[in-house]
Amino acid sequence: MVENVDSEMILVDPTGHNLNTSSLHISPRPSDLRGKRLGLLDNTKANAEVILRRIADILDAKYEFADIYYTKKHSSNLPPKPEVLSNLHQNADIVIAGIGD
Amino acid sequence: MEPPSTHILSTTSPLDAIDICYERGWTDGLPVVPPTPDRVAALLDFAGLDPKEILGEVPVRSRSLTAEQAAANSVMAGCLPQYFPIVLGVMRALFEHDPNCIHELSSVTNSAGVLILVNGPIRKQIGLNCTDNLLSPGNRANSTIARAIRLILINVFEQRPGLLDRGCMGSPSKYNVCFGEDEENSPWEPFHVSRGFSPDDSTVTVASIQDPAMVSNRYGTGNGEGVMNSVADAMASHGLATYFTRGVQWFWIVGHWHSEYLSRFDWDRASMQRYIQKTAWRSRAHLKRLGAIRGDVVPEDENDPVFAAYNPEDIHIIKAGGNSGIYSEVIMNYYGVFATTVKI
Repeated sequence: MVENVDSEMILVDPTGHNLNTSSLHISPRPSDLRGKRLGLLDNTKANAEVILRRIADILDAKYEFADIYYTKKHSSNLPPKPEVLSNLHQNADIVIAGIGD
Repeated sequence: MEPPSTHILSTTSPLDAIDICYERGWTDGLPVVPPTPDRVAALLDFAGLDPKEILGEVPVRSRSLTAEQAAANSVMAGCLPQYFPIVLGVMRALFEHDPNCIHELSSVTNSAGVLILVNGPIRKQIGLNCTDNLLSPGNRANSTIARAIRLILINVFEQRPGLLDRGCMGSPSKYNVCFGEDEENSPWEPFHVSRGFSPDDSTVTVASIQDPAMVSNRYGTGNGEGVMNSVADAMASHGLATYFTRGVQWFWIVGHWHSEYLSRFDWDRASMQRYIQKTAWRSRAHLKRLGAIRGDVVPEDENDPVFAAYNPEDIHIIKAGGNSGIYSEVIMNYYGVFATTVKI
């Protein structure tokens, strides 16, 4: 531990630091939505499913999705459980996540 | 690369150091004690911890908490070394419940605070207030232990208002809801004993809460049911009744004279829990008309009770507070972190 010296004072850093320093990457954007499998991720809020399904209907009329896969988190305040994310990966090419209340 | 664990300042003035802590965003708005190495080491030595020891990780935030960070924030809060085991106990309870709950505490818009209830011998050893004005500012142990937790959440996990703290209205509970049970003057067994611990154990119970609500029943009639009816009414009229349908828990801090009155009629904890659970409800129709829960009123809603607590054991009963008046407090335990008790 460092002691105070001369005109300097030492403070211990109280702040947190990110564990993973590798940068995150955004998945490539699809060039065309036509025929893709659409995923909907409901955050459990009261009207989340209502607005997600409505958006899906509007987009489906335009892009004719191959499938619309709906799933739901267990809590609006926590990240999806691994199996929910895994199912999205397996069943959807693109995902809309939204919040309603 | 490992981040530096110290900052070298070009000053020897503690007052300048306080200003520097402000400039670096390390405070909760109030001045902090500069976290000098000797003070931080005193806390770590008291707890027998290596500064680099990882106390826990929050996966969703990709952040960990080291013993040194916990100690530095506790020093800044004004904690004495002998308070540090309680700070560590609170963080351990949160990590054991679900590490991601630490993120949830700030992501929720309903501005949840952290309740810290201490039982056992450590209360007297550190001078924790269990009686008069126990929820007020004024006692070092109560105020600084709670503040240490808040500073850890702010500085280590970035739970700054407007940033990752998404509270809408905010909450005074984010400053301080830390107190001990008044075990010595309670007609009932200590709270931690009711949860399976020994009377000689020191424990801390942690919960995510909405702000405490005072219940003043001075003229309760009958055999104590009047007091409990007031408590049940305060629960059932809570502004976040929308959570009733998801399941919530409650703390009833029974004030001195309420506990004395109830004890005259031999009410024990279990019978009070049962009485209040079945009494604290509103009809689904009423809550729908208020907009407290969602949906159109249908005829059967008129006779459909929505209980504030699903189960009697969801009502935690603690005896605490002063004897200057006839009051209790009711606190909703928001479902993020239900009451979790660990041994200190």
